[in-house]
Amino acid sequence: MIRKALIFEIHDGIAYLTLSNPPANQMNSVFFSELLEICHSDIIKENYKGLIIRSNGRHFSSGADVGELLEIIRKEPDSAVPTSISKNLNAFSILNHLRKPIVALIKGICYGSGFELALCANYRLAAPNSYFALPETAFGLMPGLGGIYALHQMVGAAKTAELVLTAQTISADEALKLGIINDILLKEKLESKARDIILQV
Amino acid sequence: MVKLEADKEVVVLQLSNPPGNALLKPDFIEIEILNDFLKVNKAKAIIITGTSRHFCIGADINLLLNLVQEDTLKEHIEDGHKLLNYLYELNIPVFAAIEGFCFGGGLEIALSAHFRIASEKSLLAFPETIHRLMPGLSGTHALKKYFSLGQSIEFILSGRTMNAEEALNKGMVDYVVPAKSCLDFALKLAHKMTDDKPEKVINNVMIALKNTYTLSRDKALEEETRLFCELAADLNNEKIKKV
Repeated sequence: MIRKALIFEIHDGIAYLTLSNPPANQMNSVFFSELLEICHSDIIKENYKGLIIRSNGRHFSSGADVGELLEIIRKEPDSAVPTSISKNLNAFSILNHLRKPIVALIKGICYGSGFELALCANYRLAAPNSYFALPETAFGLMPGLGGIYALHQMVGAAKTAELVLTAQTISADEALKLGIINDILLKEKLESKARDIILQV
Repeated sequence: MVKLEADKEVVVLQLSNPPGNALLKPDFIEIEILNDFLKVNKAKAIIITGTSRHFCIGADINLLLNLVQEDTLKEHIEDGHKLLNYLYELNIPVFAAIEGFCFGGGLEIALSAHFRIASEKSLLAFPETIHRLMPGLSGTHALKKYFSLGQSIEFILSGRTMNAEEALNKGMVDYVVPAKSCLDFALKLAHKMTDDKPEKVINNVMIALKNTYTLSRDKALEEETRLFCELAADLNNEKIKKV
């Protein structure tokens, strides 16, 4: 099936979900509807040992399209959570509950809901040039797809509040030190390491 | 007993009874007074600290025994509980900046803050059992976040001191900084986290953060999304006003 923002494929028993809307792999409404569709039709149905989430281009993802999100919310002023936004969470929940290992391969920018997507994985491997941030509070918003919960589990309340409220960007080295990622590897070595992890689990 | 100051929108609450800042009673400040002060100053964060070289050595035992004789101890402890709950329930970051001794009731106050910054020379303890008492302001319960049951019992029954490094490893303190620099560090961090941020953004982030202790993962995520949408709706309304 031809999709605009995502590619799902299975090779040698390993599933690959590729963010393929370079350069920034922005997570717009097309991205999210394709993600939900892939979650329901492929990710929970297909037979594979583990899932690798990776990206085309130089970056993992710059996160959601904020203008579009605000537009969605403007159109449904009476609902606490517009349907399409609760669907986005639904897709992330499927990943969170998946009983197979998920490895996220990160390079370049990994921001906002892109970072939250990476946090759905059980393992995060990053290239040296990776940068992480939950920048939402800098423009009056907050992480809304589990970023606060997931970070809290990993780095505790204080560091989570610091990262979220300062909206600061951290490097791969800092992320490794905090335990947010599991390893830093050269870009070319990410995939073979991810396959090793999945085959070992 | 308590000094309140405001550094722009960061309020500093100083326990002030040098040298050890011993507590005269468990309800060391009236909630209404604190609440009014926070409102007047549009507080976006609070830092609890001690004057002088120590955070707080806990309750003055002789004064506690006086309260027993007056038959008002239970009342004061209940008010103390309410005060610590009030601090924890605030949806702005509450920091404890801990220099020197942080004992007994002092440690219970520090544990009711959301985040703890400790000097590398600070010492934490629940020495109550040495005086044939025990922690009475939720200390036994607060330890649960960081210790196994056995570790909590050992810490309380031995009355031993814990240094900042051990407390950091246990997650009981969040930052360890050089001696005498706690308050500075806390002020910088509080300003970095809250300056130029709308109060509502700070509130919703703090609510989401606290939910992670009390809600299941699924429920916490649902709430996080709802809190996000709330902020987004506010942003939209602001834009409409500007147009």
